[in-house]
Amino acid sequence: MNDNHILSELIQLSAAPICVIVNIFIQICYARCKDGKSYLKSVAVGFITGILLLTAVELYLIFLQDADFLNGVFLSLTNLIIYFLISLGYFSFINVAVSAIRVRILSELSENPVGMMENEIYDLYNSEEIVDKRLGKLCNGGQISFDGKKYYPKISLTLIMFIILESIRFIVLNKRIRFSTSNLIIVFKNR
Amino acid sequence: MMTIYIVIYTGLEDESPSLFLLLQILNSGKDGIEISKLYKSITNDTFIGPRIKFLIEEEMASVKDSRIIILSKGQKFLNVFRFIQNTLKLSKISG
Repeated sequence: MNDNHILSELIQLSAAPICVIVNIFIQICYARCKDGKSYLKSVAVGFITGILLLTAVELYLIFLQDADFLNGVFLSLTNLIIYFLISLGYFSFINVAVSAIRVRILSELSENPVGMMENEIYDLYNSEEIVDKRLGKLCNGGQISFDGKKYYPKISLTLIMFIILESIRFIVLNKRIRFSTSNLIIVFKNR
Repeated sequence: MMTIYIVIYTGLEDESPSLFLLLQILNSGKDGIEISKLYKSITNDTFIGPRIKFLIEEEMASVKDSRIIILSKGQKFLNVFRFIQNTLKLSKISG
């Protein structure tokens, strides 16, 4: 095994974690520069930067190093999957700070050392607020449509995610699937 | 892989308000659904109550003289996410 080969192996081994670190670093810098106002954009910018860097490294290893082509391709795919999964874990973790109701409740309790009655928490964080915030995000993200009176379903990434989640919930937790398949077919037909 | 599974499993157990709304909108089909019906479908008992119960069960909060107070475990848990909020300059009001 020559030095060049060992170096390639080391790069291959460390490429995904290093690119995740780059992803996180860029995401933090972007979010801080924009004062936290473009949170989702910062996540996207970080993720894309990291994946571009990883792709460049993998292409370099496949085409410029004297390695077995097929072996290189499969190693690169494995690295891309690792990168994607660690990034998903990171996104899920920081997303708790953004949207978790539990964190909000704890925050309210922390501000009130004498404690709060259950109905006081309900008053602070009512159901209409939950609906308004979420509908705003879903509409702005183009995940649902609104004609001024009613909300309609449309094919979107969130809808696909929801279908996958419901299916996993059915398999793992044996909970019945709650969406109507006929309505789902209509949504797909009307896309 | 295991970490990702744990993260996703938590999502399976908990009811997400956004996905619950999406479910209501999807089940309304081509007729659509008015916001008033969505307001009725989401109640405090569905989303806030179970989370308060969870915090008490996990000893992050407790009930004292019918008031809910934060415990040190809850404060530590909150500090982790406050650190993220400060690092990313996010709003302190989550959810």
